Amino acid sequence: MQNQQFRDEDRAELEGHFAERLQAYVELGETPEQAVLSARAKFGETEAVVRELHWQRIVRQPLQIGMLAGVSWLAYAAVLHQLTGSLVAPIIHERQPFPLGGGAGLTLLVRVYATLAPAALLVAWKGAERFPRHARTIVLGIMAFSLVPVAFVPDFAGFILVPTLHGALIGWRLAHRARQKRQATR
Amino acid sequence: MAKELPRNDIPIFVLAILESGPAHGYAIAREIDKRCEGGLILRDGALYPALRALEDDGLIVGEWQPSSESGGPPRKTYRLTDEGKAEAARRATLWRSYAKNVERILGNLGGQDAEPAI
Repeated sequence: MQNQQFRDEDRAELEGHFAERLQAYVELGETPEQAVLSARAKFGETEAVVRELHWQRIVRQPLQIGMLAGVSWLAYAAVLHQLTGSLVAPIIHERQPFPLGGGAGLTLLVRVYATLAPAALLVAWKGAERFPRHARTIVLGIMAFSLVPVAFVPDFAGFILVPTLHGALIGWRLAHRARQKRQATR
Repeated sequence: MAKELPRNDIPIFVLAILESGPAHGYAIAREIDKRCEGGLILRDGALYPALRALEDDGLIVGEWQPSSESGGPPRKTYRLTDEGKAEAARRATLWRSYAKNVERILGNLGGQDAEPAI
């Protein structure tokens, strides 16, 4: 609802600007048809700008980017859950090919991978140069996702809550750091 | 030779224009065009992401003004906040220092009549 209001305001402001630009070209002596073309070339596409502002608003909102990251993680974790349920579990529990806790180790590795891969994707999307700055957050998240579900909470909750919260945390940190960096450099 | 204004450079120009007083988007774009005398090309639509970013950072404030008596549409007018004024001065200092250093590095490259690099 609020997003729609922002979009409407953006569009009203951009269309007002475009109308003034158009008027200026007409006053310079261009025909209305020429003026539309000139104003469009000078201004760009209104809808493209509205979309850009919409995405900019999402990216700059820690809560929204966190939710986006959380949902992405959730989807990825669900796939992993299916894979570990149908592929890894039979190997561990029925064939037992890994002595000395190797099966648990394999599960742990899968969980670490499940955390690391989407985190890496997220950081790559936001800018790889920021990755080292979030090393602690990411290591904590990997540990949380890898160890907490095993020891303390049922797998389902672990797969749902931990990656979602961790995704939200990384999203918040990324947005916060991006804002600090922008303020420091401009 | 006109060069399109890089998007990352737009915020400092907006701050510089608003230092002279509140203005709406079109007036900011027109003033940028006027001050650089066509040496830099600003695509008007690129102004708005910069305005939103500056608003989010608390450096400017946008307020909708009602329609003018002549029947013009409502317009959103931007002004600098106190934080924005301090930030504008800080960035201007950085930019001037940067431009001066680029000039020193370039030396006489391109000849005496070459356009300034910045």
